[in-house]
Amino acid sequence: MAMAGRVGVAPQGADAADRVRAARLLQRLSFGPAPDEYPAALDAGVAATLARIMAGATAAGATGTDVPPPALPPVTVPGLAGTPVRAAQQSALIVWWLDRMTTSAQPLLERLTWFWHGHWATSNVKVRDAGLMLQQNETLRASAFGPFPTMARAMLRDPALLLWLDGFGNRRGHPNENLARECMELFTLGVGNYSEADVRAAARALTGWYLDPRTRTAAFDVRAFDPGPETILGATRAFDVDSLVDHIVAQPACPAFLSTRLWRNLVSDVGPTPTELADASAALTPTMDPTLLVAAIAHLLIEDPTPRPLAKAPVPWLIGVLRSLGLTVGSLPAGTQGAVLGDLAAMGQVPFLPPNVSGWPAGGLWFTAASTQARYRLSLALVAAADLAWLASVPVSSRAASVADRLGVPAWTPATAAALAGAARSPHDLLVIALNAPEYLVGV
Amino acid sequence: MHRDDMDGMTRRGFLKASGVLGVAALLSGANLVSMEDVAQAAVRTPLPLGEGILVVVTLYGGNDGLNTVIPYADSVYHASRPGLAYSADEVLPLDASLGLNPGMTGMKALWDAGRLAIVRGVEYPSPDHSHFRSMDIWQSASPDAPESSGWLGRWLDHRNAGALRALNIGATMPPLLVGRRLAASALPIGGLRVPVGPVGGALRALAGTPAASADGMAASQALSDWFATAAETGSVLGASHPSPAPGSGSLGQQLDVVARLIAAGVPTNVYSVSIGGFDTHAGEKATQTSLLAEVSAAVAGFVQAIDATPRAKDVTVMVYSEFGRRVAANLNQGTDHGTAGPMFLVGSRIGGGYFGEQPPLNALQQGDLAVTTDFRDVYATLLERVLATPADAVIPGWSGRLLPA
Repeated sequence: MAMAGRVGVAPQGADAADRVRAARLLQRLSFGPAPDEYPAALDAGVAATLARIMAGATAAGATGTDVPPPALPPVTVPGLAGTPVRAAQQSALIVWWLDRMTTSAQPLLERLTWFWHGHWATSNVKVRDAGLMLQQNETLRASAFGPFPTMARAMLRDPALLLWLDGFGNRRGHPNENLARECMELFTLGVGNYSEADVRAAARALTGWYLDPRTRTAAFDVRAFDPGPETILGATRAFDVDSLVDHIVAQPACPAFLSTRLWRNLVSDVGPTPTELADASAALTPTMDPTLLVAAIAHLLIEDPTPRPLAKAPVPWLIGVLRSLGLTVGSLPAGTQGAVLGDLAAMGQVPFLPPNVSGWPAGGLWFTAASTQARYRLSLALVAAADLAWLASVPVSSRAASVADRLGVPAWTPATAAALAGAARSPHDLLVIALNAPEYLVGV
Repeated sequence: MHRDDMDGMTRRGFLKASGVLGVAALLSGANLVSMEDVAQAAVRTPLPLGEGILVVVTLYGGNDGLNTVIPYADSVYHASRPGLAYSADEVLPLDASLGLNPGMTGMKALWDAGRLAIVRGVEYPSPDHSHFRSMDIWQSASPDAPESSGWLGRWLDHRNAGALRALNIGATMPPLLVGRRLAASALPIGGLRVPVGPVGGALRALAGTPAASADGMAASQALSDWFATAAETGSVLGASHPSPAPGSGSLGQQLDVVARLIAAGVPTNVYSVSIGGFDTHAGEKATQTSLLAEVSAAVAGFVQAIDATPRAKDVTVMVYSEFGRRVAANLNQGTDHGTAGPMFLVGSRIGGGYFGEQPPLNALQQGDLAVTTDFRDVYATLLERVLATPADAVIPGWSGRLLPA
């Protein structure tokens, strides 16, 4: 963590501080370096690297080289016979996004889409429609950067989210509070920034929607809509979904809440301090566009040497390993693909299957004996599938440094350096140890 | 929500991104206790007979208490939820006014044997309707102020005991078991296998090494726990134990593992198991009944297994959820988040029968049941009677105790 000292094996060249800065950018605003990306970033300099990464802060350029999504038509097979079809679609969807995250030319856009997926956490276990989950994923990607109200308006009409939170069962005179509650608690304001009465009133404002089976979108039935007026967060008027979104997002709690969530995902499991939160909220408030907040975060990571530990959740860890090893899940044998998904499940994180609507946790709670075993098992499978000729060609005494460069690790601690030195004759063993070392599991 | 989607709450659920809950606590223990020492001690010193054992069963999602312990003779109950109510013919009658959900035959048998305690109307003042906040309150036992440690984690702190003194079945540690200094161990249901050879040696060397951050310490400590827990539990569960799919397995599988560990004398006083899926906003009746049937069968099966060991009188089971549900049904044949609900206890140190008053249906508070029993009364009683620990050490200043109704 420290930017000076505590250096076990420090590759020569760029100074230690620059190694930390470049590693931070590649860890936080991407999923870790592709082969040779870290040394190239050190050569290009921190400013040029930041500019290159931030150019990906738009959904507009996301075409061309990106992995195309699978075809996921509605499953029309009735009853239980449809189950294997749905399961196959779900797996195809998961593998597609893992591959897109791994190979995207705009890793920052995928990183933000991943953040928003955990924010609006929707699970296919209840939705049971991979096509609608893909539709939501594309909505999140399209609005990942840009004004948050645009995203919120789209998401409160998103069929998968409404299925997940019973929004289609919320009708005039018969409110279902699930969507309204989680919207305030988990999507916009956070606990303590609204009352129970606000939840019940907001549920009425969100009535009237049903799933149109032909268009596969949320359609509005005015007869099922409660015209109000409602009193919500101190204002009384006839709310509908859009005016409700605007009213909620205008609350001072909203930018602070979103800033905290983004901080925990991109910056650190520590903080933000009150000052850091105020700065982050100030960056977000004027336009409610996360682009400015991400830029502010990037500058903080570059300019402020304060240690910013960030535990790698299982999916970012996996994507980082895949990028470094030059692998994609989709190109692995079918059996290995299944093992990858099984080990992700054992670690507790599979895309499109968050444990509940609050998404996945942040922090060191990812590190348990059981998840350590699954991570180790998965690293064995991936290293076995990788071409390690690049490492075998490096002199044994330089291999630990070479792996640090490959993985985007600024420096090994003395303990890890010793462990790596003992295994350096075997490229396979060396990589397995490195991928499970604490300084690879925790962002610097 | 559908039962499966909430099942994950058993593992990571309400921890949610808002908290770095417990991270500091998870590691600081590493400075005080050597996992190798604990492993050695566990092998050499099995839990003495007569030491209390508490098995905590968490029902994630908010179990509908009114359809669990059912006021079947109350006309307001039937009028409030016409499509959801159970008739007198359907319930498993406890007395002239209350009956258990039809799925709960195993626990009904325990009631008939005088072994099931039903604590009625349990919650805390001014109940919170958020899953996450409410479960946080239940697990921290701190309704009034934010508290990042769990009540049984603080018990670990008080005992100054090693990580195996409390054990979560399943990969993810609930905050319940994370103290301010110490934290429990987490055991996946399939057991642990650690690597051997050069990689195993290298990772073992990294286990427990100091790191500059709390997260780094957690990662290093997890390596330690992996090796130490595998060493301790491997011989108990044995190769013959089935290895189901990753995750924590069904509640029955989890409690089966607990029964084996207890029988083998593993030096653990607190076990945590869980099941999710109780967030029944829609289509509640079939979902909840099948879940409660699973809970009931798993608890009854566990009690039967423990009865065959010399520790039958040492073990107490506690079953709880973060809140009950609204009295009136919604239009989707489900219920929204509510307040008070029943807890179940099984163990000779508590005894059977009712504790606390049934919340009256004619005196609702904004459509919700009134709270008649504070959950801290239950915790304090369990700390004293089962874990032989002064309640004040875990819930400072709390004087309430469980009293027979």
